Amino acid sequence: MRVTHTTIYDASMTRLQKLVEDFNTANQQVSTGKKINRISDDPVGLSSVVGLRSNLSNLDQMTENIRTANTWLTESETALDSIEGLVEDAKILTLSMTNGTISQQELDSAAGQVQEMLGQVLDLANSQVNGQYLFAGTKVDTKPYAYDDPAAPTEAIYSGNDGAFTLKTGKNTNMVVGYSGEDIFDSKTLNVDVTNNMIDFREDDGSGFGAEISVSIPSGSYTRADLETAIGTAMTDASVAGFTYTATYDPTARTYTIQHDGGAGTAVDLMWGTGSNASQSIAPDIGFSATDVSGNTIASDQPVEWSIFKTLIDLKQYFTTGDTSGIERSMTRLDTQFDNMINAVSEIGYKGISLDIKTTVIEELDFSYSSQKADIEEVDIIEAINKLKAAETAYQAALSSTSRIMQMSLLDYM
Amino acid sequence: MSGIGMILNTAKHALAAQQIGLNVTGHNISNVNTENFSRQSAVLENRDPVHYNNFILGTGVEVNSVIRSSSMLLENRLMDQKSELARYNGAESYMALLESIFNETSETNLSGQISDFWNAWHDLSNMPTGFPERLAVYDSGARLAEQFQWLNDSMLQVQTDIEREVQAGIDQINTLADQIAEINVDIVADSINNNPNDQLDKRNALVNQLAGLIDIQTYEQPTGALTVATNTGHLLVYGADTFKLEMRSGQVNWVDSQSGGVDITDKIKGGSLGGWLEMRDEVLPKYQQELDVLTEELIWNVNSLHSQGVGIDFFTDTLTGAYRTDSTQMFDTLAFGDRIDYTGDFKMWVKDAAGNPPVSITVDMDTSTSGIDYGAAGMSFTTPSDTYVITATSSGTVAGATDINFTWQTSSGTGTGVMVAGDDFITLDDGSQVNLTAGSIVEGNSLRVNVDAAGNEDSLKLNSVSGTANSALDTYRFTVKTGGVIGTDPVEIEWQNSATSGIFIIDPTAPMDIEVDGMTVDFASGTMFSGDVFTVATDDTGNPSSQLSDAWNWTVSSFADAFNRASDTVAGGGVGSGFVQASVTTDNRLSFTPAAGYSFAFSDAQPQDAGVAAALGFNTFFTGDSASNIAVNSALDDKDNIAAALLDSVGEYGVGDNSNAIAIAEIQYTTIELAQWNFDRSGVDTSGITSNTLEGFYQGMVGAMGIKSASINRNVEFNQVMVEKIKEQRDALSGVNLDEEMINLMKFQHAFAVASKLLTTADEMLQTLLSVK
Repeated sequence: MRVTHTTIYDASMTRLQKLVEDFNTANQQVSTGKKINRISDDPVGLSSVVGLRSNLSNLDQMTENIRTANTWLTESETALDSIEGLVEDAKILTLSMTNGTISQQELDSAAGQVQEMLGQVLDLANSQVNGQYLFAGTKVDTKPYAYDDPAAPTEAIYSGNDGAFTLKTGKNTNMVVGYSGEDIFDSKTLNVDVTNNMIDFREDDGSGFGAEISVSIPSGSYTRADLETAIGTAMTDASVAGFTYTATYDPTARTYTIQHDGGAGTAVDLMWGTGSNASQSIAPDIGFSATDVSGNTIASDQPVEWSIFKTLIDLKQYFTTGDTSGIERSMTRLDTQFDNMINAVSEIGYKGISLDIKTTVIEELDFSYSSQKADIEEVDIIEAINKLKAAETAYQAALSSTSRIMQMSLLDYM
Repeated sequence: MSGIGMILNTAKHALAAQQIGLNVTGHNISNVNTENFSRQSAVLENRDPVHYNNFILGTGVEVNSVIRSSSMLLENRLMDQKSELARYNGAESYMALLESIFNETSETNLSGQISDFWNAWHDLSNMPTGFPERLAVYDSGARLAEQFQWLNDSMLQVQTDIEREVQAGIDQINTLADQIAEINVDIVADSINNNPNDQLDKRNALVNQLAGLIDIQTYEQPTGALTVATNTGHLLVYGADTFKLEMRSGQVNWVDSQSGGVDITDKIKGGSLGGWLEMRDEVLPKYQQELDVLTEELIWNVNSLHSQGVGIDFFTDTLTGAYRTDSTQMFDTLAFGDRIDYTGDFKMWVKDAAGNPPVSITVDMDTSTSGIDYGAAGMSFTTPSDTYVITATSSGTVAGATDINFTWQTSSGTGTGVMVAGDDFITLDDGSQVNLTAGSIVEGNSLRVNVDAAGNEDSLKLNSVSGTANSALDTYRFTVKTGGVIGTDPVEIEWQNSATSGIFIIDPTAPMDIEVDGMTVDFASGTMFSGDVFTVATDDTGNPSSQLSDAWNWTVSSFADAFNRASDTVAGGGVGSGFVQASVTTDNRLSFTPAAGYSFAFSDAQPQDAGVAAALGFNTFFTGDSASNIAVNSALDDKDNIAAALLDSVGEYGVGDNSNAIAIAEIQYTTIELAQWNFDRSGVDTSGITSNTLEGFYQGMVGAMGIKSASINRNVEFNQVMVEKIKEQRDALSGVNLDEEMINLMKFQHAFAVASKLLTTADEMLQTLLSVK
């Protein structure tokens, strides 16, 4: 084929341009460390990189969320651990107070100790993390517990709500880290044993009250609903007049109501005060004062309070008044609270373990995503430098051959 | 005639011929670097012989012609290939611009901003009461909105740049056409006796330039004039005449001799113009539209959750919705009106300063199942040629056991109406009667009845809406531009979906089934007034279903009234009734005003929230409905209004509640139905529905952009190689080789020298003869 000078010049120019471009690309890859410098360099790869980048960002956020969750859990665990210790101390103290003859002076000193413990428990229940209360449900800005009367407390009033502070710890998992104080400190179950299992009552089938009937609730752990059935069954079974008893718990008013189906002219007398087993009666646990009360439908006069605060306040009261049966009953109640604390602490412990597992998984994922991203996006530096070297050599060779061919002219030989 | 004179003559011709040869060679050498120059050569021919005695003697040489080495076939192939290269070059430069706008190779880009936004919500969920966390949510939202706007503006800028360049390209095409026509005249004149080689080369260069701008066809006429036409056959140059191209409302028009325009925009495939127009009409709109889809889904998904949440406090001041309806006030005309779930409810909670438990105000958003009983006996209207807007102010069943109350409004009056128990018609207090079909009437619903000049009901009626719309899962909104009676007057209607729009006229003299973006809307009858609106919704495969304005709708006014009635009769709690009132602003937005000391908040209306608060723009996180106008709601300037918490079933909440923040952060994992668009310059723009997360959708969008760009780059490379190959072939034939010319130079020089010698010889011979005395 006929070759013209234009062809030679054009071809040289194009070839040099292409080589410079290769050289530049190789140089860019070495200097930026990235294979993809424009979307079109590797559209499919870049699309995955964008996805991986957002996954990585999400993993970072999850790590952050888990860190926050861990802080909450650690703080909660510490607080509840301490309360558990205090309850244990209270148990030891109570046990020592039931041994042998104890003077009122000793009891008074014990009462002082209980007051001290109560204060500590209250402080711990009001623990905060980052300025947020741990045990206030979702009202994290509200101090959850305060005495009804700071001078002579009869109960600790809860001002939080029944929500749960939840954190997002994974794409599909939310974890409760901030509990409602009622969930933790207000026991859901009551331990019934020989110290608090008795109901003494009299029935009037229309012809005046009969003899005292005593029934005992079988020992065991009862929820509020379980107790409804247990009381109803026990009283119905023991009824002489053939009444059917029902006990109902009202969660809003926190009261138990005991009623029977005797109809007009009949009555029942609950002998909380004068019954022969009044000191082992269940009355204080279901909101009744220690006085006899009669009627057809009888509601408890106090709120049912199974909380740790009430237990300690009552204990202090029993010490102060030297109420030995009360002190004995307190042992059962302290056991329940102790079990509750252990359960709560272990639940939090399990959550901590699950967070640790998540963290490990996230770290592994993070590593795998990062390396996938690097595989797509980043250059193998050795390979890149080799390519750069090759591009440089090719460019140099082309420059030298081009300059040689351009120097050629027939004129030189004429 | 012979002898020395003849020799002299031969020498003279030889000298002249070699001189011309040298001339041509010199011309070739001079033009060695001239683009489109074709090598010329002098064609030497022996002159006619003479009879001398019994001999036929040669009389030397003469130049028959100067020809150029050129192949029309190669030139045309080169031109076509250059045109193709110019097309991809045109697209490439803008595609590179688009890529750099999206800049997904770095970390500071849209996907990063979206991640930041979700992360900010996560952080807020970790610390719902924290001010810095609230500020971070606000800022990341604002940055995200800005990024969307910036991307949108940048793409618009690219579009403007392209349009400017197209305009410049058209000007250049017109100039080139003029120049070609001028050269045509010269060539025709010179072709009679000669080869106008250089003129041909020059014209060739101009045609090449023209082909670089637009794909053309050329024909050489026997006279030598070149006819140039667009690929659609529209003439640009015909002999000495030219035809112009012109931009008319953004479209490239070919202008005929009567100044009539023919739109050839979509037919231009090659040249820079083809590349630019492809970018403008196919590539850019896809990404602009998909960015809008992404923005719209982000706004709605965040807003619908945010609007059901509560911030640190309730709202104590007048709150005005961010979204407005058009003048018909119909909910369907809200930016997100098509997303309202009419099976759900709207719920607001009101608190007083005394700390009583909050009370809730609920508006049931159902729609009535009854409708106009067309052609029922007794139906009549007092005001002719007007639209009656009839709104139910109580609920009930048509011909039911209780009276149902209504209000009505025309352009000239208002009043009340009642459907007496047992009746199936409404009696309005202006004497009109509206008959309804059996079904339920829901308080707050309103319908529009158009009345013709004779006072008869004449709302729009369609025979059918059939076919498959190009845009799936979309709402086509039809707005009457010029009213009239369908079938009698020409009625002009504009339609619009989320991507495109169009306008058509129902011509009374033509069939009234109108093709609209893939669907066929078959109009039956109706008296239409300017501003009337009806909609056609499409499902995820594009099947259309129509919603006419004489069906029951909610309007801002009817909703405000229904809300106020509910507010006035709210029961329970100690807060009391009527302490929040709704009103409609002059620009058709809804406003809630609490009485002094009262405050209100919105919540999820169990069991199903209608999304009315979000659609009206109350308590939303974002405002706007596309990438061009997305912004953070100004109500959040008070960061306490960022709704991280949810109200519970009694209207209470803890400020540390983070359930709404978590819900919003979870949007990133939610699969949403999004429309992927495909724009085609032939005018059929279609969308398909894909299920993806918001970020996944964006990844797909960026991936598609990269693939498009890579394919353009490959085409540029391919065409470059092709152009080079063909140019090599062309140069092989037409190019100048300096060595060759040098040899020619010497060849002619030597010939000249020897011819001179012949002259000297003849001269000497003459001298010799003359000296013989």
